[in-house]
Amino acid sequence: MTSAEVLTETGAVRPDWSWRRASVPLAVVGAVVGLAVVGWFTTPEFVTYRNMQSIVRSAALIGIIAVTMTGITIAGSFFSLSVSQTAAMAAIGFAAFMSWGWPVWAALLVTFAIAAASGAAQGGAVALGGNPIVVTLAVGAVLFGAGAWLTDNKTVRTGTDASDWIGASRPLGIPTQTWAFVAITVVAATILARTRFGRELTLVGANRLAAAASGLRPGKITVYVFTVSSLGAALAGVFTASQFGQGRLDQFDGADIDSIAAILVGGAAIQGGEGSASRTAVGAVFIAGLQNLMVLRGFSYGVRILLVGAAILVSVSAFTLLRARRRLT
Amino acid sequence: MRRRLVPILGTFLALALVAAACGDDDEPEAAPATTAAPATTAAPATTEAPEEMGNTIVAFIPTTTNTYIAEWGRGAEETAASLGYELIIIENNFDQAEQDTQVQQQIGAADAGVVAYAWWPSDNEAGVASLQALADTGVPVIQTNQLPFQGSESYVVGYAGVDDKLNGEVAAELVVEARDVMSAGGAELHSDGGNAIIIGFVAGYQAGIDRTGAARPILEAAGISVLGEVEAGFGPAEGYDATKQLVAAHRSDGIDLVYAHNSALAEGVVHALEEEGYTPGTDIMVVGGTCHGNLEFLENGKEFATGLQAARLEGVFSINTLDEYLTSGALASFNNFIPNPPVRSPAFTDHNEIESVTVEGFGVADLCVY
Repeated sequence: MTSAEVLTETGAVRPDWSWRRASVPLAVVGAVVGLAVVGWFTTPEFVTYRNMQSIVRSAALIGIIAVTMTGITIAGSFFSLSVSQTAAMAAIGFAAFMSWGWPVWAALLVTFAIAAASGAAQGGAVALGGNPIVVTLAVGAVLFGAGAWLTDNKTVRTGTDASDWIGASRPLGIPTQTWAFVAITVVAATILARTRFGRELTLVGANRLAAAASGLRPGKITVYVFTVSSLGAALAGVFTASQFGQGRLDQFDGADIDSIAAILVGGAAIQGGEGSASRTAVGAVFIAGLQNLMVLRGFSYGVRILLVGAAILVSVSAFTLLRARRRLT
Repeated sequence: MRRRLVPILGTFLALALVAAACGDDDEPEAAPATTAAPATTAAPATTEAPEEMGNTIVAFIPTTTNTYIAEWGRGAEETAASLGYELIIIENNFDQAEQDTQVQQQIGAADAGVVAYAWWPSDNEAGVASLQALADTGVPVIQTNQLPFQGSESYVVGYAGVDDKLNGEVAAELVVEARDVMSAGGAELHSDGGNAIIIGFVAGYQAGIDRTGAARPILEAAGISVLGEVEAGFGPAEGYDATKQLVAAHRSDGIDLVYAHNSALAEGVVHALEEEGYTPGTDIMVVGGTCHGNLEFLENGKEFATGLQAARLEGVFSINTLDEYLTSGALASFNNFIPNPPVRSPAFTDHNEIESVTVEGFGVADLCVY
């Protein structure tokens, strides 16, 4: 068997690349291309460079959260429902540290350290057998309640422009959030597809017992993926706090659902074992692009929600069918 | 098995200890002198609720994780405490179904100590059934923040709070004024009367519907074309995203004016416009409907003006109006609106309205920064 071949579940050898294997990635890319074509013919403003940049910027924060959460899904732990609260608390914490006169590096270090600890704790609880949905929901509630208690439901302001460059600068004319989104996607995609850790993570998600029997440590991998997810959410929080000079508890309402939507539209398997950081990123851009197109077309809020929901439904159904067909061959 | 049980039990024990340690913190704090209810709105005669009729006011409101609503809660709590009432606030997460359930639980509890309800619906129309259920208990209900939905006026003894139609009218007049200032400064408008976009509250939120509904006729009468509107949210991040989208849609038409439903949204609007190459205060004007949070952009002219609709004052006003009803058996008027004076940026006026405009003794900095 060469490196360009893989062993199927039935023991047969087949080429590493085939149309059936590529069906999910092609469907994701096809959806984005289709959206662009529809936009091209119906709405001239949609395909301008400035609007494309706006779409990617609009997708950036949710994209960062979703891409860093993709590891959780691939590892078979479904999703994290605490990312919106983690992002909000990171924004509040970072804003508070800056308002206390801390240097930017110290505020960043402590913010990310707290987020990493929170993620590791959630990963640890899941590794011990906790249901990931319940664990992250509970941690989200704890973070939300703690945030409300600590801030007295007030806006926490940085009170300084020392950290503005993080969220408001535009190297080469492109917002830092967009740069971070692209960089994180490239790094995550490379790790997932090209490293031993990525393969181990996928194996854990595909068959946890088999992975353990092979000498892997699923618990350790679970802790890693939850930690990375929390760090991604914290980065989104830091970007927002530095851009607007403030942290608010309701700043990331709905971010967890939007991130899950991006992962699903990106074709990740909910049960684990399959997914891609780059496809998740494309999923986030697709949703942002769809919303953008509908705003350009003047669609009402209800219609926009309806169509985004329908797009997610169609995506998930299509990917499920594609996977089912692939398993049969 | 034991290895799994130990951390779980440890976690529960830690949570129980935290809960026990925090329990005493729930006692309401004494109202600080600087934020006490203003003398002009406090009940004049009886300031102690009669013991035999109970002294509990229950307020159904959306979540206080929204900074505006939290400030409403602080004003209401302080005023209730100063008048001798116990205020119980029941929050929902902008979810009418959740609020409906809370109403049923409250009615089911049949608490005889409740003397009045304050009703702030998450969805004004969908919440009418719950409002009726509260009214049917015979306990007086006052509606706050959003005027009673058409046909539901009989379920409440009165309304106390903001007048979102007035807010929309004031904001629209400020947009027209901003347009005139821009023209007088030599800026060339992109249509005869100028082009505007609207960045609003979340879809379905009555305050946003009322504001836009009141603003549009004034804008249109002044010849201003409204190119587009997005229901964004309440904060800067939502204002930023919505503005980026509307700018992409209407840049070729030319945008002269932006009306944001509050100044927190306007903060995000300013950030987005600057990124898109505009100069707020010069080639484009931004008006916020309600002052909310940061005064920086109002001070430096990037926000042309806002309205002093104060969250804290609305909370104070709501409890004072309820007290008026409870002590006198009637209200002097059904609608009890808090004022909404405009506050213009000092960059466009001869005098500093941020320092000079006051409501009930409170200044802009007292009421707008939270």
